[in-house]
Amino acid sequence: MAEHAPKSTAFANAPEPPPELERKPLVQNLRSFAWISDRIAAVAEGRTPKWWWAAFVPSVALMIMCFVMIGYLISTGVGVWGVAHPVSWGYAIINFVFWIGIGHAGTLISAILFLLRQRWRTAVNRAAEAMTIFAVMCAGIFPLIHVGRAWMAWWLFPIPNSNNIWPQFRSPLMWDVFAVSTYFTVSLLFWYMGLMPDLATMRDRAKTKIRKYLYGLFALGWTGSNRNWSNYEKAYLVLAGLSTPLVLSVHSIVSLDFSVSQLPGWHTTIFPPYFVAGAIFSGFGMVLTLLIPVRKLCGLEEVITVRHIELMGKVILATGSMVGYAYAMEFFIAYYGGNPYEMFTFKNRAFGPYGWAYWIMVTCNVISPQLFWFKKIRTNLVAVFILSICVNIGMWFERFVIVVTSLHRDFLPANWGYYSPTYVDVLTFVGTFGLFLTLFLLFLRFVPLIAIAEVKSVIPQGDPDHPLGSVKEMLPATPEMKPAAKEPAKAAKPLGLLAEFETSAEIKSAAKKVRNAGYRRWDVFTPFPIHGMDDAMGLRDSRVGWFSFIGGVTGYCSGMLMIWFMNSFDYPLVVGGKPLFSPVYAFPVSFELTILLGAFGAVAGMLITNRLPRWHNPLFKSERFARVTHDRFFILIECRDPKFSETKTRELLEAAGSRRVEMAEE
Amino acid sequence: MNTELGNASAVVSRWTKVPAVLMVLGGVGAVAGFAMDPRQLGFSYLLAFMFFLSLCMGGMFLVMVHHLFDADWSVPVRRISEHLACLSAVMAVLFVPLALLAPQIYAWMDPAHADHALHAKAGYLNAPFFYARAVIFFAVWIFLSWRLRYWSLKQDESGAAACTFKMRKLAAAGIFLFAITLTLAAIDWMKSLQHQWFSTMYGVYYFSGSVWLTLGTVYLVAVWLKRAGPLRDLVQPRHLKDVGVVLFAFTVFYAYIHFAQYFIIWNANMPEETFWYVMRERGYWWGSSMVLVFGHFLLPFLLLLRIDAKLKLPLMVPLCVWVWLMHFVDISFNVLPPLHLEEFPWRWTDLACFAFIGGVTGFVFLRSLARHPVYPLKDPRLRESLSDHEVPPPAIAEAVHSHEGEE
Repeated sequence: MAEHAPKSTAFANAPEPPPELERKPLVQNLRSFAWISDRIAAVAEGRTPKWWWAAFVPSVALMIMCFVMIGYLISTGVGVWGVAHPVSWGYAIINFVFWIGIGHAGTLISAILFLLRQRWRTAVNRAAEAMTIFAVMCAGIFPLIHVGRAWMAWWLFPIPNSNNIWPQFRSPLMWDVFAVSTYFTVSLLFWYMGLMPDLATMRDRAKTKIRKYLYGLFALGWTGSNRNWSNYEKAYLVLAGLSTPLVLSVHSIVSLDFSVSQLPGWHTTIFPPYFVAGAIFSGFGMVLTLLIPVRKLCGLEEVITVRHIELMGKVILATGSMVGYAYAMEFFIAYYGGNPYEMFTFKNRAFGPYGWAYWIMVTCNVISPQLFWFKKIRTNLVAVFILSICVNIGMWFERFVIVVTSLHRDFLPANWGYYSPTYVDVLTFVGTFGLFLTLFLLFLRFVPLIAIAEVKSVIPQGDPDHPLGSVKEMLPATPEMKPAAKEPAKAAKPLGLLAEFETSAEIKSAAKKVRNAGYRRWDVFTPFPIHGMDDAMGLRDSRVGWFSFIGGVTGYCSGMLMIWFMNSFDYPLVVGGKPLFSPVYAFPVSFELTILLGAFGAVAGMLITNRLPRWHNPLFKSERFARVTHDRFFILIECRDPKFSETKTRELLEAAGSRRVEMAEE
Repeated sequence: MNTELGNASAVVSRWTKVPAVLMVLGGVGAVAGFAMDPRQLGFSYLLAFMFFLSLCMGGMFLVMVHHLFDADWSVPVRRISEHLACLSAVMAVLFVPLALLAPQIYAWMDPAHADHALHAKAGYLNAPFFYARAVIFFAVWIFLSWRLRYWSLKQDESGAAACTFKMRKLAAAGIFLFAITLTLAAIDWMKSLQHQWFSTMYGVYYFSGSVWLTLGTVYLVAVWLKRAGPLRDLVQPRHLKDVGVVLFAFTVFYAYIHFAQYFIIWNANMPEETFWYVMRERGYWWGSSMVLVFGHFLLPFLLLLRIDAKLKLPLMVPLCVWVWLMHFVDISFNVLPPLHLEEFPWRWTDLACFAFIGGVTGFVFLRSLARHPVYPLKDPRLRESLSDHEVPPPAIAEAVHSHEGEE
């Protein structure tokens, strides 16, 4: 039975929480494991709904328009844009920063909220991570086309070229190249790693051969083995630990594009955290804009509950207020610093020709999110949806204000101007929404949009120590399968005894019994990682962390060495009066490489220690075993185990509570 | 009701003499120092004051964030932060000598000090407004911290949810006031030592170091009270681990903030900003800058990196003491260079003032610990904090019972 006895007098004296402070459940209506995988997987299975087509066709049209505009730009030249002296950074940089910012919510939800043990993240992290990847793709387009000759963009990478010079790493542009590409790669890895167990679920549910093959291919032979889960969870934790500073660094580095300059309005020390807060703010705005309709259209209101929406509203409130703090500080220090140019810039921002943009920004980013103080607003989906759109608008205008207002009044009035975008600017930007939505809609139809395994691990039935962890089939969801056929004596070599269990509490106590009986070659298979199972099985701590540590150290050292070699040794070039080499300017790139190789180490370590990919696993032959990614728990004791004896082992497993024990074959 | 539970008076009373002695010795030293060199004493006093103000600010932040997040893990150690936050009152009293010494410390207060940069900000940096702001800061801090503790203590008796809601509301409004007052206080009392210099990050910078110091302190106090008895059952390894994790997070956060500030100034290379760091890259200050890089960040970072490190007391206790030392260096790095640019920066008066303010605040803190229950006895989240899993709401518990009945 579950062990949830009170521990101490302090616990005994602690009162039950009063009803108004009860925590709401993360999945409503006590849904079962089977219900969760059925419901979530259904979005990517079956017939394509009409609303999907209704959204997909216009999105594709917009996307095509985006590419047409880009084609026109590249074939004609940057003159088709509105950028001109003095505002030489226009829509392209605004949109780049905007989309990169949108991309911050995914990693925040998957990494930072994971480290903060915010279990509600499980319902939204997958979609937000997918959104991150697509948003970074949209963002990546803009610097590429902004360089003018897009076909020369490969010069940005430290590759020997015909000019025999190296990229120079004192430029924030180089930091961006490394930050954004690292961010994209690590986000993709993180997203894919989170997907592996769910792809296995899709594989085991697949009705057609082609689906089974493709999902199986990408699931890498995942079985839900607890020895795998143990390494997997460690790798996940390490990736979360790496992604947290990464997500902070990316927008910080984007902010350095502005703040390391000397331009009034750009050069201010609070930019890095201010940009990060703004990015998280805008990212959550976009997550809400997308998920409020999606949860309704896909029938997922019981998984993405109003509580989730409410919590995201609170994150918006917090980050919006931080952004407000930064606005205020900028103004105050512009005064306090006593620099007349700085003061002019800020006065001009608020009351100059672009004052309208400034006040849109302040209204949407600071004032309107304050409505989230009220629970009535936070729980009113229409209101939240509207406010989330305000956030998107406000954050786009924030970048507009920063980029354009700081540039349009140069130090000499002869260099003043007014920036207006052309239709190519506007249509390219609008077109990126088409690209973004197209990718997002494809994502909805092909992969589970909610992390199935993770949601299962946060419902009460998933916790073996919870009273509900030992309750069987709360709501009968799937019809009972026919009992396992008596295994016929085939010529095939036996692999071991495979016992099936129904609840998380059962499997945990069974694992303890098997361990205490002294077996060595055995494993537990579960649809999601079970709390305390490693201890129950007596597994030692996973070694994935070391792979990552070695990767990280290698990345840092190679970054520093590379920059020293290129900018100080092989082709010394003085830039901006800065030293030829300094660990200060070399830090951003070295840091990004630390994270990149650390993440490679974590994922490679996870695959190596788990001996994956392994597409042909004898267990896949067992018909019942397909439910391991759905709602059943298994123990396999291999024949190779020295203590294995068919009768005794079977007795042990049956005594541990299994109702079905079968002989699995090689 | 178990009266022994959470009562720290017996444990604490054994130690109250220590801060009292420190207070007396430090006080005598400070008076002697004042007689010898009032300007030196002013800087020493400011250094110690800003150090202990960090504890008060950090405590207030932890309490408010606890309420805003509706957290459960920090319930057993919340009272420690509440007491730290309530040091605001004694800090206000301790500000009086600083207010009197201010003309010795802040160059801009000298009417003879002619400076264009000062002229531009005279509307903000002038003596009457400076004192008025200090009064406002302390009024805000005292109000917030004492009200938060008041409702928390009320809840010890009733366990009412209404208290939680009161605290949550206070925290919601408070976090704004806190952000503004802390920032301006850091600007007024530390940054204006070199009034020509400016940085929008400065408030966040002082904040990050303050919370870091407070987390180290909370860890130490929690370990002490756990070992001595009053928190034995309450502070479980996972609570200590969580404090350690947040300490780790703030180790990184502080480094991030300070590096960002330095990096942006270094790159833009504008003399109106760089002079502040150039001063701090000379002589002994070069050494203390390096101590900050390696001691404030790298060493704690590497030591705390492993998950299990946060529970190893032989590592954590010295590390938390180290946190105190590093924060002292950090505040010195901000405060002392205008006074001692080339020579060794610290004087015996620094120790005397540190002992004095540390003694006073320590005495008040210990007395608060002894007087009140040492953890929130009836906090609605306490049960959740002490149990291994999320406590099922009664609705679910009922469903389980009815289900079990069927079987």
